[in-house]
Amino acid sequence: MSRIFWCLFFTAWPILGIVVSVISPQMNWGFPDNRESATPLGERIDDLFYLILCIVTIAFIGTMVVLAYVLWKASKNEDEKGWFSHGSHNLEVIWTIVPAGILLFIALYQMDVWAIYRVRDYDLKQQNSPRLNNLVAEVIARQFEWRIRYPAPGTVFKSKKQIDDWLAKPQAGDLYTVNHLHVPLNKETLIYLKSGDVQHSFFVPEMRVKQDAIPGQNIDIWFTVNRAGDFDLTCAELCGWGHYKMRGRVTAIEDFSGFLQKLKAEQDFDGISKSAGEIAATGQTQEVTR
Amino acid sequence: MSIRRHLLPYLVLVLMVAGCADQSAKFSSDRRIEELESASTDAANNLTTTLLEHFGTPNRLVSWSALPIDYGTVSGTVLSASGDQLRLSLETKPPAGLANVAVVFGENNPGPRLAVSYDSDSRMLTLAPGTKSDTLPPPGTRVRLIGHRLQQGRQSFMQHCMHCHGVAGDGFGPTARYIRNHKFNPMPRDFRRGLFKFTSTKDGIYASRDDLKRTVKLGLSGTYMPSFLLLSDAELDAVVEYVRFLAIRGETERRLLAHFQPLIDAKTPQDRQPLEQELNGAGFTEAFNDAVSLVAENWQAAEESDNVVLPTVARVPDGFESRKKGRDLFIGTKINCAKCHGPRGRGNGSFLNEIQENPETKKKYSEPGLFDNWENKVSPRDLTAGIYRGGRRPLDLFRRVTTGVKGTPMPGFAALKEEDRWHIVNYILSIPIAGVFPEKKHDHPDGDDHKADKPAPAPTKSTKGSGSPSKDK
Ligand code: HEC
Ligand code: HEC
Ligand SMILES: [Cu+2]
Repeated sequence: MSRIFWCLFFTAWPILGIVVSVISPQMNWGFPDNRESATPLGERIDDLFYLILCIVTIAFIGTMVVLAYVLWKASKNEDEKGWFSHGSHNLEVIWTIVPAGILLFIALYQMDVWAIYRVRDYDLKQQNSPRLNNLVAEVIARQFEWRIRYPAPGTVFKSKKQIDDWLAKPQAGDLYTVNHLHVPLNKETLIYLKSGDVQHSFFVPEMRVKQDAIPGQNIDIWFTVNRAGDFDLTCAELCGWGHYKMRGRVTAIEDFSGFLQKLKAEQDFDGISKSAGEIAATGQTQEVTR
Repeated sequence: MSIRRHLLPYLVLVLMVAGCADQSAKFSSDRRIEELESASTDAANNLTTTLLEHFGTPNRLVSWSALPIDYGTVSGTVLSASGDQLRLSLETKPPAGLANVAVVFGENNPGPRLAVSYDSDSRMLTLAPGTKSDTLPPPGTRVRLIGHRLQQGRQSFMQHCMHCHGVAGDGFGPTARYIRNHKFNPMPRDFRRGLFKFTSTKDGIYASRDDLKRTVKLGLSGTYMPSFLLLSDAELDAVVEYVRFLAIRGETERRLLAHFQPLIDAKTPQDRQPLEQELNGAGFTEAFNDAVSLVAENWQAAEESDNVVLPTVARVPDGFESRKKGRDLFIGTKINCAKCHGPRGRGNGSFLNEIQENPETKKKYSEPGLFDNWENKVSPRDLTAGIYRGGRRPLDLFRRVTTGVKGTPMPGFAALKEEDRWHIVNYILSIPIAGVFPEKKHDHPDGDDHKADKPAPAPTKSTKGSGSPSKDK
């Protein structure tokens, strides 16, 4: 009797686990704001995630079924002794080859996504590569804020060296903001990530973008946002006691050059020129530059 | 000022208790209070109780209409009253969770009550139990609920700012000591002088609400003061109001301590006795009223539009000619920014090798270099970095050149012609950009070698300097 109880007991838990997993999307039991990806690459990352989830689920259900079967069988027959399998060559080969095969499959299958995410600057070295001008901004993570610099509106980069020089030194007409990055909608975007002090990590969950900022390096991040709106930006590397303060926002907008023009008008404000309509005569504006 | 002095005793005094937080929390006081305590307990008690009465503690803030602080008021009328419950009709929507605010009936009722809570559905206000003599107002009485904004400000300040700026805004929060990892790293601001570095106001005028809000919103780039851009507007306003409250409280305290300074300085009990009588009696009341009205007036003046620095001449078009004129002023002997900032703006001028004297105490510093009013060592900005704490808009730099950086040796040049100030601004903005004024190999910190510089080609049309991006128009 008690053997059957234990058999059912241990079988009930995995069943409960699977039932909860299956109904949780309907019941809204996920993380808050668990929204769809805002980038096409993010969708592929999600697909990979679900693929791995499927593989793990199959393996989980398989092992649990075997476990339940063994328990059930043993509970029926009080006299049968267990089979001592330690040192079975065949078994060990099987459980090494099968997971290794699965791992190899995942490694090959995801390579494409990884390449699209990380290996994107392959043609930047070419003179006049059109992708040079996907450069939108430089983001400097520092304790405890994101300082952002855009090239002057209308800047055309003709070589990778010009980008490197731009990253190395401020240039005339650069535009500056803090904590709020704007990027163009539906357009491949390149930003360079730097650190002003220690390691940080640029994490935009809804865009499925996460990249460490490493002191002394200019790291390229590529993405294409295909949903307009605001996305939370956080620091995902514990960087000091003010880590939690590094809250930022990424906004994808259609009229990106219009945004730059507005920013420029704010930044060029001399207290008199009324070029930007919303600038009040007192010189106190709702500006975003400093 | 004299009108104010007569008014002071009649002004409303209101208390508000906040929540169930640790009621024993105190605004940490100036260290000199301990010195005063050992000189005269009476005087120290007098000072602390007076401050407590008018400003309260962090969890038991006091609002006081003598101060130019927007404590946050919701007004309305009483519909009905019974027991400790009042039904109200409020003119504006009160913030969610309105609680523990002061309730004032009528226009100038000196006996405010305390509200425990307000339920916006039933529009019922629950008062804290009053004394026997408290009578409930008849329906139709005007009512004001005071204090919600300062409470919200306190909340945000404790959450976001306290660990650097300290509970009392003295700049000694628990994390402040980690900030001094470099000798020129500025420490979190001590608000208690009413002195702020980056303002839009004229020389000698305090910071306006807009200035403080801009600082909190955008941070001071290049320092540990971070940007709080994503706080809501209401939260920013509230935290700014709380900063002003702390500054006013702290400055009042400082001024009262100055009043008692002779007592602290007195060596023997015989010296102290007559001083104690003189300083602690009517003299104290007068000193307190003077301090409060002076501080209140200073903060009020900062909000007046007359006191904002605004150019009357538009920015001179940026170009090589203008930058050259600016540079000539920068390194010339009359204005001589170079004596501090160095001939190339690297922040290494010859003035740094001299021993300066403290403008307040008139004592010489123990080492050469520049110090701000908080006695922290400061370095003239390295202008080649292109980082401007007070903002990079031409307007901001115009204001810097006009009024300097307040509380630091960086002077203002308000007497300079506006055009000349614009030339200087144009030059400053060009310093970080490569190739405007090519450098010689040896840049002597205080050398006169600039005379040998050859001007570079005009930089405005395009920055064709080595490898820099070109502009498409
Ligand atoms: C990480 C530490 C830190 C935090 C957190 C912080 N500050 Fe500061 N703050 C500083 C430092 C450092 C300075 C001085 C910068 C300087 O002298 O240039 C400063 C300066 C200021 C100033 C003076 C500006 C001026 O013009 O003189 C104000 C006002 C201020 N902080 C308000 C706030 C408020 C409000 C908050 C919370 C919302 C806050 N600070 C949070 C470090 C901090
Ligand atoms: C007596 C020395 C001294 C002189 C003269 C001086 N400065 Fe400064 N300057 C300083 C110091 C010190 C600071 C840094 C203040 C701080 O933030 O603590 C500074 C800061 C600055 C800044 C940075 C402001 C910001 O927002 O970060 C600018 C720009 C500047 N000075 C320009 C000038 C110009 C232009 C002149 C001449 C018209 C000049 N200075 C003359 C000492 C000086
Ligand atoms: Cu970080």
